[in-house]
Amino acid sequence: MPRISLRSLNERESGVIVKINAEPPLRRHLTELGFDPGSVVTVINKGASDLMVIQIKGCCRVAIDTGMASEIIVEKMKAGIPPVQGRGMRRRRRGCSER
Amino acid sequence: MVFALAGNPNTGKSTVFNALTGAHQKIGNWPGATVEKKEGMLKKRYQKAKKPAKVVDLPGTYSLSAYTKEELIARDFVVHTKPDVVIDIIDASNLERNLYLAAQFKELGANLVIALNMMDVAHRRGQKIDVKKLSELLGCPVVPLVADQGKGIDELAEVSLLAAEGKIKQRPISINYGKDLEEELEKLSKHICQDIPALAEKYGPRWLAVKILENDADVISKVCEEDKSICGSGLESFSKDAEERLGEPVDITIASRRYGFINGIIKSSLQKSPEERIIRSDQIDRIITNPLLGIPLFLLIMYAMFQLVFLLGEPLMLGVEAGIGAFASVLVSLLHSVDSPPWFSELLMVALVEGVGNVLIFLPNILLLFLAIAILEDTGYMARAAFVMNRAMQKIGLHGKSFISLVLGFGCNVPAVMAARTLKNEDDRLITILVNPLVPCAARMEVFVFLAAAFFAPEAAGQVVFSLMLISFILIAAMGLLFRKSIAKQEKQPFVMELPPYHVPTLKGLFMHMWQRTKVFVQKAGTFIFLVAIIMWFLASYPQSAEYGGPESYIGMAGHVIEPLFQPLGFDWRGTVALIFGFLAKEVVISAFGVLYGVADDASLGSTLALAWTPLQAYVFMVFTLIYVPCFATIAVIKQETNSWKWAGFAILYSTVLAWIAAFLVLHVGTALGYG
Repeated sequence: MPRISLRSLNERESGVIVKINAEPPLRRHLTELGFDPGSVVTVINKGASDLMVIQIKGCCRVAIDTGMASEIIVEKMKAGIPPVQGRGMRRRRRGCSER
Repeated sequence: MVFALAGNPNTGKSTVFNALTGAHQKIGNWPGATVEKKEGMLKKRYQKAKKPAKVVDLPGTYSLSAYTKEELIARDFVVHTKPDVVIDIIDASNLERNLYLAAQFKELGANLVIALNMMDVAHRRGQKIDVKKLSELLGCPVVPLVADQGKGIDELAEVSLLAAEGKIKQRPISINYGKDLEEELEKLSKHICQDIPALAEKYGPRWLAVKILENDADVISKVCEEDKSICGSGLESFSKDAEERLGEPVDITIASRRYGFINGIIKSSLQKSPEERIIRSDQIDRIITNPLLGIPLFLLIMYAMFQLVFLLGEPLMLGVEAGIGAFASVLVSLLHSVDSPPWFSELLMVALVEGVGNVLIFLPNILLLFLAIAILEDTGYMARAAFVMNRAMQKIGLHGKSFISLVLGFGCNVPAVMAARTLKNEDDRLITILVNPLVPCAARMEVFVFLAAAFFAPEAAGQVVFSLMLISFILIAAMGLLFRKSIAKQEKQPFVMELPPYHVPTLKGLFMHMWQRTKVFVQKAGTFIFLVAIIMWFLASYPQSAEYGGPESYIGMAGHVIEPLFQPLGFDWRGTVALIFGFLAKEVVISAFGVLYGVADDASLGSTLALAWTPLQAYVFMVFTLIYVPCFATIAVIKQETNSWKWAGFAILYSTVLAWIAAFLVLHVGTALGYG
């Protein structure tokens, strides 16, 4: 699997954390926050130029510096995890197929 | 009996705190820190006969490392104060991350009760949590809650009391850090028991060993204080050895394995793990944090907030003013009827009407302001505002969240300084507080509008006031950068912030938030304002023969003494005295001129001043008024919020020096350009 920085993942792509290049205290803080090696992160929103929103631990949204994100190394997951849409959207889709 | 309330941010900790304690709460700061501390007594109906229980709200943290001051405070409290119970509020829909903190409390040997909050959210997401199993695996009681609806609070109080009395036994848990690390930990523990028995007794040898391997700066410095011989290379060799074996930093391995332990617990107690999905919050965020829409939306929300606070506040403020007026006249006639000596009547009037009255007049605005802030915080918008404004604010040495505090400054710097509480990093908060008085508040605007109208043609007056705003913006940016470079203790931390899901706040929660903060303002700023009003009154009316604020009064004499300092700026003793009064409240500058020039109404005061001063002098005076000493209500909250007289003194000093330099430059540039 290719190792790339978290910053270079696209929206809705996932990766497995490999390592964090940062000063020890910050590195540990991020690890404890849920960027621990082996856990899956997904890019939720990459719209802003200075910050990106990441999903960690399958639930929480964390906004981090893009600068910081380029120091977090991930193993890109092949398919990524297809985001399951909210209930409302699913219903709508069903409506379409019925028609 | 002490209960400590802990938990990650955004887990409904304050809701649980309010539910357990009711309205009787004490809010202050943790010693030596600008971190808010809340405590209250457990509600009467939960209390059992003998020992009343006190609930202390620990700062919201993700971990118990010493990365932030909050984490250190929470950890130290558990170690030193030894609360009878630590209640850890956990977001049930987000077990994995929340249990990380719980695991650390267990490691620390706390008497833990887990409050599994937001069970409804977890349920909606289809997660089934086996509460009994979870409690078994963690070796501590677990109480499910829906704190927003008040569900489970009674049980939580009951279980916590039982646990505090030792009627529910904790089972100590020991996380297995893997064979390689365990060997190191065992060796290190032996050393600890031999060399630093006192610390080992207090923290437990294993916990100390884990922290030393994690390279915890606070623990290592404590160990070094205790025994110099084992500190330094001796300690480092352990983590180096471990690092060589592991092939990665030890602290990372420890954190990963702690998560591994948690995952083990989750596998056997959670039926369905959270699924990856785009939730409604993300869709709202697409709009709210959109690079194009984000800032206009933010400005719109700020505008709405202003309207709420200052338009809605205005009639209330007038009402309070009328009330104070009525009270004053009753007081006058009462004093008259009991034949009180004039000095006493005057003192009482000044202290009660001007002193306390001044605080009360701000009250409606402050209540509304704190309501607005509570809405922004409780809905989750505050985090988005910081997100949107981050880029611009970072450029001037501030933080995304600083902007909210600065905007509020246009109304009044007092609540604006208090709004800096939403900043969690100490440096960010201090810098935001220190630059805040540079935002011209409504009171200073009043002075500018008055002087601009007296000295400049109507079409130029607007530009004059606008130019003052520009000066203010430039100075905020310059000072923000300067403070970041000079007084910030830490390297600028990268922006890492959780975006909590949007949430409909409860009315009760909003009002509690609003009320708690207002109470602090009234108590702290109130007493201070009261005292200073009395001192100012004394200085202006004594020695006995002196006219109020005249050249023979102490304040007038002070004006004469300080006058030479202001001569280079072209102010005479009257200008100086007016500025001293401005310390009381900025809008007082104008009425002080009225007293000093012996003119009662504003219109004739304008023309009198226009004869005495040139427009350039007036402009220089405005520039000085814009920047110099924040009014003492602001100073009082700066002291309260930074928890230090040093920073309050620094705010006085730097702003006055800056004002002098700016006014001097404006005077000379203006003269050179021929405006003299």
